[in-house]
Amino acid sequence: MSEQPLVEVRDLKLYFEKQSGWVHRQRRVVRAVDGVSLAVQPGEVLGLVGESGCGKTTLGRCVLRLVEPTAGSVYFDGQDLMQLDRAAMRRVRREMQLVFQDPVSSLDPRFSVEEAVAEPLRTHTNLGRIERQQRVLTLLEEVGLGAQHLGRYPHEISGGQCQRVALARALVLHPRMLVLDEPTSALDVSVQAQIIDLLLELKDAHCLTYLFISHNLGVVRYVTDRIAVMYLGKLVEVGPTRAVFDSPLHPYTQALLASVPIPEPKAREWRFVLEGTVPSPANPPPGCRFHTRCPSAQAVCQEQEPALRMVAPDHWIACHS
Amino acid sequence: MVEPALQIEDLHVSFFTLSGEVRAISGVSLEVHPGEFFGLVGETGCGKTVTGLSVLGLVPRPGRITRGRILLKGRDVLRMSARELHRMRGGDVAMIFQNPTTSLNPVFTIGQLVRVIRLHQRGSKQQARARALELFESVGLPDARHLMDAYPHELSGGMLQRVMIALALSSRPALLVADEPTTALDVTIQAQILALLRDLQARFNVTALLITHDLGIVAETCDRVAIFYAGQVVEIGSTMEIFNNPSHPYTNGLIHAVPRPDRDTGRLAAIPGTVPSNPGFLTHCRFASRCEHAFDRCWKEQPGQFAVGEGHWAACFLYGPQEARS
Repeated sequence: MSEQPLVEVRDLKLYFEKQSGWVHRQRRVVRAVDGVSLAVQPGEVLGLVGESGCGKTTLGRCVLRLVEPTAGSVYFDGQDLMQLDRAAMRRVRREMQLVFQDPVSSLDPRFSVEEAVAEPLRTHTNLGRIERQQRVLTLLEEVGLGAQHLGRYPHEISGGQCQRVALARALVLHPRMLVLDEPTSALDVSVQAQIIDLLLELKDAHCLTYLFISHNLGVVRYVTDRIAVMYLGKLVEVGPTRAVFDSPLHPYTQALLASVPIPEPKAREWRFVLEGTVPSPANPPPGCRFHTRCPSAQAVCQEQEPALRMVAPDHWIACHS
Repeated sequence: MVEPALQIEDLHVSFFTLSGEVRAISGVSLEVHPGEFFGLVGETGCGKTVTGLSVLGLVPRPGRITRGRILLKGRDVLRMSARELHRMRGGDVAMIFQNPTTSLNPVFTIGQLVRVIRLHQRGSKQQARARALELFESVGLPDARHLMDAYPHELSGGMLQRVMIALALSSRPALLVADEPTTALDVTIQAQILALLRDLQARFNVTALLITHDLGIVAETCDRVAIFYAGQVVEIGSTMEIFNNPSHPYTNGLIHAVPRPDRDTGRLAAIPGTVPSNPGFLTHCRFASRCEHAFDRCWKEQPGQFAVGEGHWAACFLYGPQEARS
């Protein structure tokens, strides 16, 4: 791709230090994200999938520099975010916003809908009260709410409506990019479908770019253009959504896709059930991190860590086989 | 005809809160046959969990069963004394919960926890331990001896859910109530637990009431299903029937609102609107406000159960006699 990526992450690492033990203090390093390089093109929806603890949320937060990475760099529109001072970072933050999983707890319970959506305008712009109000109302209408919701508080509206408010709040400053961290996981399926459609509409209306973090593979297939699969802090497969879902190449991706129950009886004759559990990120296995559970592991997998390599157009895997 | 393992007849449960009565379920009837996995499916607040808890006589305050019968192997649970209930729970009916990390007491080792087996079975501590080891093997916990000295926090969520399942099955219950047993687990672990449940069904003829919001889990594990909406069952049928011939507009909407992981989904058909709040007092069809087929009658009275196929019915006037559809 010749276009300049909107967001580019280069060899990003984030280690958490964890103290354990009470009598004998021990320091352990948890490698939440361990050397990830990834680019998000303008206008695309990139899905970041993996199981809990694989580092997908942490990676999303690093992109916004909400946590300071241990090493590596993040570029937004060509600027190296690690080099920016507080004031410059603040300006960049207007351009990228985060939407969280639990809409009810991510809104301040003491803020009315109007106050919640207007807050970014108060801190980042010097619009007057009337202009702010107009802007808030336009956005609420865009997310399917109306003037009657202005004075409501989060506990007075449903989870789906709270998520709409969170989206309005994220969009009020005209950002170019949204990091969506499990935006529909706390919602019921009928409401989830409404929010997914809204997300896709808003993306077109505002020319947005999404980093879409989710463990729900059905939703990911529906929403994203490309996906990146993470396992224990590393990328194992990156490629166009269609290609990855139709012909997953990494054994972990294959297992992950085979594990998702399909809402159609007898849709799957055989089922490949992955054995064992994910090793602790504080003590990842040497070599390929997946070799302890991989059905096709060879001797080399225990010693050498595989690098991402391109195996089909724009389709990358980190696997020796 | 074999006696059903569980029969629920016209069950009504209300919560008497400070701001008034909230009818959680109204008029739920269903039967679970021995050896069958029966799914209760629906969204948050539809009453599926309350139905499961009612079977064990565990409806929390200020909730109360206001009407109905629950027959377990022919005995009415609602007429049992406290002692009989105590003996039934963990004996004839066992339950496993959503979050295995919070449902096992953290201050006891697994070895200490398995002593609960003796509450329902005669035998020495050694015999209970031996039985536990045997159960752990059968639920796929190979290093069982080691496990006995571990505390719950030392085990992963998947292993804890296996321990829960082993304990639940220790008394060979006539019915296992599983409330979202895999929701707290990752997909690859979920696949392991679902495979285990199916395996146990085949080997030990386990009967289960499986409460879930995930249609994928239903399709892959349940034999029959009841679809819940706003405190009522709107459709019951075999899993095959429900998925191949979804009849109630809500069931149909639910199935088409889920994007599929295994193939491209055209446009998602979201169900417009939201569940009415405190729908228990509505006198018309509870789904009418969100239903694209709603006609006059739907706004006047509640539909009864109309047959749409073999052992398959839906609570919708669309399937009533011709004269009902006006």
